[in-house]
Amino acid sequence: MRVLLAATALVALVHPAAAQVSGLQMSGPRPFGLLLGDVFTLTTQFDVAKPFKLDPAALPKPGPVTYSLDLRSLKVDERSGPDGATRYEMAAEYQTFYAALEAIEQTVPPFTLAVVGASGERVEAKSASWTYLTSPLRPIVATAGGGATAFALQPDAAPIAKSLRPAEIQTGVALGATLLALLLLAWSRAWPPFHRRPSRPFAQAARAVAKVARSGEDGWRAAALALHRAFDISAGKRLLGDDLGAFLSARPAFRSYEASIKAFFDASRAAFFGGGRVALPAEDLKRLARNLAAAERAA
Amino acid sequence: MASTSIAERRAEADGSLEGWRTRALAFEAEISRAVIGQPHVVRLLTIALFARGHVLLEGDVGVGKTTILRSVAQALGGPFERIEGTVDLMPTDMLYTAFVDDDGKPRVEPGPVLRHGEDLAVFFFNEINRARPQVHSLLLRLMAERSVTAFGKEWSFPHLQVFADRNRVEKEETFELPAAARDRFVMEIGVDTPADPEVRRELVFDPRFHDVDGLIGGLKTGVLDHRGLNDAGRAIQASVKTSRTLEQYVLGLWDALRLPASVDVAIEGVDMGRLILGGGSPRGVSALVRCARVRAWLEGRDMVLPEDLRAVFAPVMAHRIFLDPIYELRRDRIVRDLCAQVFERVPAP
Repeated sequence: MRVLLAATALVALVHPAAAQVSGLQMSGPRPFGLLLGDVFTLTTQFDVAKPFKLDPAALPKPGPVTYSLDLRSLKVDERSGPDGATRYEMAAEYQTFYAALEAIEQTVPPFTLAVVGASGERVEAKSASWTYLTSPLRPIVATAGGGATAFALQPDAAPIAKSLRPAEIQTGVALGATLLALLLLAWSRAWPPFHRRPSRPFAQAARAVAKVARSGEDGWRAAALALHRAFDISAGKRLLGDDLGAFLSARPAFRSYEASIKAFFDASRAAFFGGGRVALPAEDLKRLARNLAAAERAA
Repeated sequence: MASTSIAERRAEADGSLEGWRTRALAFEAEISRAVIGQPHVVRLLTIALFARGHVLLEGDVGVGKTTILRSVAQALGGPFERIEGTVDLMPTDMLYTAFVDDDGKPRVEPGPVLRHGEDLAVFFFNEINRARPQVHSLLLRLMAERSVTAFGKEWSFPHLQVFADRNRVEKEETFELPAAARDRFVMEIGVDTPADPEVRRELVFDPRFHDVDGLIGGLKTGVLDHRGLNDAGRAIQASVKTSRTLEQYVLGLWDALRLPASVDVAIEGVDMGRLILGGGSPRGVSALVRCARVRAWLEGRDMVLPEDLRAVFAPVMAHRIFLDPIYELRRDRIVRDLCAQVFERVPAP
């Protein structure tokens, strides 16, 4: 903010010019707290009696003023003033490049104002100088000796820790559901660890049969025994061939395989008690075990 | 069949067991005309005939034990004798009949056992548990050796089959059969009242069953030739095979009977560890196999199956199981459960 200073500097004008240039006033911003690179504008206002006029050629050109001060621009505004005089208002924009190590006073030097009369007589006057305090750019902490202030270096902005909880929960739920589905499948198919499910003897037998059925006559016998044990478990007692009717009528799920089951029992009788050859191919045995396991699952 | 002569049948028996089987089934059919609602009893009696074993029938009063045995004797043909067990019956009463003859002289004639000589086919001992142990002792020899000593000589009865019955209701003035005597019976068959209402209705209302003598007299006699049974029995035992697996199975059953706890047999309210004092003798188990062979043959097979063993197991084995005395009172139920569970536990094959 620019604070208009009421202080009016009465410049010591060249005596003969006193009558031609009057009412010289200068206003500037607050004369302290300026830092390296700050831009400020000084406004000078004065009246010139007629027939005199301001000589623009005498005005300073934009550029370095001192080694640490640049004039960036100079605007001149002209309008009619009181008592028939001409009122000029000049806005000079400066930029300071003074790198202060501590707060120190600086001065904007005055410049020459030349007015020219109608007959070519020339009168010069000086503008006001302006003094201000520049401040160092060093952190205030260092100079003021500690304490966090608004001017102290702020810590780096912490990254936003975005919560992953919903994603974690979703992943967990999905994993749990997958596991549950796998468990259900294993339970349904009597896979380990449910392979010894009491209600799924045929699933277990089907695996045993598939493993050994083809390895010769001994394998066939072992497979038939496995299947017999499954029938035993399913019936809740040792199931003999003569009990098949009651067994099947109590378990309708197996009834569609009645013929194969009977064939199996007949073959088993012949193999185990008749001393005869194995009459039922291993492939049939395996298929029967598989079918029974499926029927048991469906039941 | 009745038209064939005994000689012809014998010739047939040598060559063909099949003929014997046909006749055995005819024999069963014949008995079933008089004995209805008891097909398993008839089948067991047939098995016992061909296994050449003696049979004890057990059951309530009036269920037809005597009728069944008389029917068998009638259909079998051959000399038949019976005696009633009483508390004052003495062993000699079976062998001798003492009386005073027309001349006033005391005379001793052959008694029931000897009356028909050595051709005796069926000896029927009614109410055997009313007779004294002395009588049981003689009967034991008659059954075991098929011989007795009388009139100073040895009598041999190669075709003899002893049938006995006892009712299990009365315990007064009775003498329990010694274990050795019971072991000589190849089977103890329980006879129950038929369960089928239609059969019961028929038994009660059909006048045919009111006249027992007429009923039995109407049966064909000599359907089987009692003289050929020994040979047929031997031929059956030789021709029906038992596989290695079945032998293992029988041994498994035997073990299970001796140590029921080892195969997880559990009977309610029974300490399985102390239940069994004796679980079947070798003679009993060999009788079991003999009967199972006959059963397999009757079913038309040349191999014994576990089903055959199961069909004859309880009648053959139950009376050979000796229980701890504290369980004797509940014997019927315990032994029935034990036999059933043994078959439910021992794996076959």
